[in-house]
Amino acid sequence: MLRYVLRRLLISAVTVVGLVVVTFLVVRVLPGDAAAARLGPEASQADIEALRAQLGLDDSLPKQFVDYSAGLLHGDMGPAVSTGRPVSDELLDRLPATIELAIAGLAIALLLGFPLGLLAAARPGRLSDALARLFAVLGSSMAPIWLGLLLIFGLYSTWQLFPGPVGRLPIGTPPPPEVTGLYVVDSLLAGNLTLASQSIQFLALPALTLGLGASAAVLKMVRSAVLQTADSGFVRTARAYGVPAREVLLRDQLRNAMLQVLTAIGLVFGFLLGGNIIVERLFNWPGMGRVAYDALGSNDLGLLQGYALIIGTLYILLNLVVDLVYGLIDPRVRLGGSN
Amino acid sequence: MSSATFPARLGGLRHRPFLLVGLVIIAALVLVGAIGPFVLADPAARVADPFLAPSASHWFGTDSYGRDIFARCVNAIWLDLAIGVSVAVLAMVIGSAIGVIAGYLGGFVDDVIMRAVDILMAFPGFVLAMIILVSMGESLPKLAIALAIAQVAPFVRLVRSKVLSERELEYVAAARVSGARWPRVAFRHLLPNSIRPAAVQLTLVCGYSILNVSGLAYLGVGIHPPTAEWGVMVAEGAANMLTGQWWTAFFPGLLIAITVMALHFIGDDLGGDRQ
Repeated sequence: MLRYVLRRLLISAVTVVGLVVVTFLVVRVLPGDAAAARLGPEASQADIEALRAQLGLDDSLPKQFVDYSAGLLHGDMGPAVSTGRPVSDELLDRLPATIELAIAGLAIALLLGFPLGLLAAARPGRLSDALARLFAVLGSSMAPIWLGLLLIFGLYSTWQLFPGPVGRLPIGTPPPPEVTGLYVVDSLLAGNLTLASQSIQFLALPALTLGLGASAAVLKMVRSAVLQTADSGFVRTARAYGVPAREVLLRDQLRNAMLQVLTAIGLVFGFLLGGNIIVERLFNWPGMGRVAYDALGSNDLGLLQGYALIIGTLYILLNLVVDLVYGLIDPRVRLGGSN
Repeated sequence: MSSATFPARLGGLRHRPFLLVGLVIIAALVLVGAIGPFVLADPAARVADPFLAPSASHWFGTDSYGRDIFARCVNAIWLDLAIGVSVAVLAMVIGSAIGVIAGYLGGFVDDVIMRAVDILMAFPGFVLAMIILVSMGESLPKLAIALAIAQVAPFVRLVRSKVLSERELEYVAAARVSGARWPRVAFRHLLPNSIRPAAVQLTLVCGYSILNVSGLAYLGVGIHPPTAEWGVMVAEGAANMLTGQWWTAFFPGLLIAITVMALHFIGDDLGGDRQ
């Protein structure tokens, strides 16, 4: 087990280093000038030169990379040109909002995708299967922005069931005292039930927008993971002993499919963390995606670079955790991995 | 299936309803997209009052400038399909070439390439395309390149894993002993036999790219107004949704959904995921 853990840790570390190199290269080496982009077409040559010098863009590439990496080791991503605050503060301040939204999106994706995937796998080829898969195709064919607009139009503008797209709480409402940064959790901790229910209502539509799309992916993965177990010996044996099909499905097939489903959940959560930039803009959700959107508007490449780096690192950490849990519960994985 | 004659294949379509529906939708779009621009109003022309609801004279209504939304949607068909297809083909060509090299050469080259693929996969494709595009500066070809780079990784993986099993077969050994150098073995012999999984991915990537273009347009990157493109039109219409003019964003978004759905139907069927 130790060798398996070390191996996974090493691979993740190498990938994170690669991530740093790639984000650096994309922003500094691709044709295009961060200083000129930041100042816009009307800037004078002198202003551009001055900003280039200030950002250290005139140094040689290796020196720039060493400076940048040295800063990263101290958690310093440099200042955000558009706001003057450190890039890491700009982004990490908003991390809880993004995580709250991603968790809620994942919950919806699982609540919808899991049962539908099981239903589809219970009778492959039948009507229930076809309908579930049609739902999956529809869910992955809609542009997130369009789906979000439809939900806003239907559930807010027309029927007034949910609050409008103005952020995490009604305008002017003070947030709960910060413990975790997740408003729903923090309001419950503070014993403020009204605030908790408001937070949930404001969370509902953006989470539904993210979750509906992701539920399609969950459905497909659950279905194919369960179907793959259908041919295995333990299923045949259980059926031959006269165990009802439903019981075999829920007890044996599902349990054996859980490993693949776990990987799927890791992937979906990563997708939700990174795919939120559109949803955060649409619902004015003050998360990291919203910062990235503002950085796009002000051509702040350094801030965008920081965003990509944090999202990528979170994604790698997530996969590491999934791999480790995977190894913990399935001896085949950790033994195979130590070869 | 490859030995079946052409009419027999068409007969087979009746038992593959999803493939049939997908193909019919795409064919209809291509046809309407070819004829429409000659028959309908100029997509940039202000033909009526702003914000007319859908009616017999303006099927999809008019937008905030009084432009006919149906004419704009039809004009956008070829543009959107062209972006989707070019991104998918570009990603497939680059990804398959890298995948064949990694799978056939193996060893150190394979390790390096697969690590690089892991790094690419650590970004959500959308974020990667966005960063590349902003760094390179924007234009239509650069948009296609940025989206393609973001989609290369799955092609590398698919083709590589097929090559790993394929390279043990006898025809590869035969090619090698007859004196072929490795590029010839890899690209003339292995690649054609390992490309099928990538071809399935092609239709899916085509759909993702159309979705990604719309997302980027909403963030103000990639294709900009006043171009008649579905994603741009959804983005332009987003504000109208709150004020009641739902049709400005609804119809272009619906066309995106229908197109991507048709591509999914085709891809799922070709991937052997039939019933």
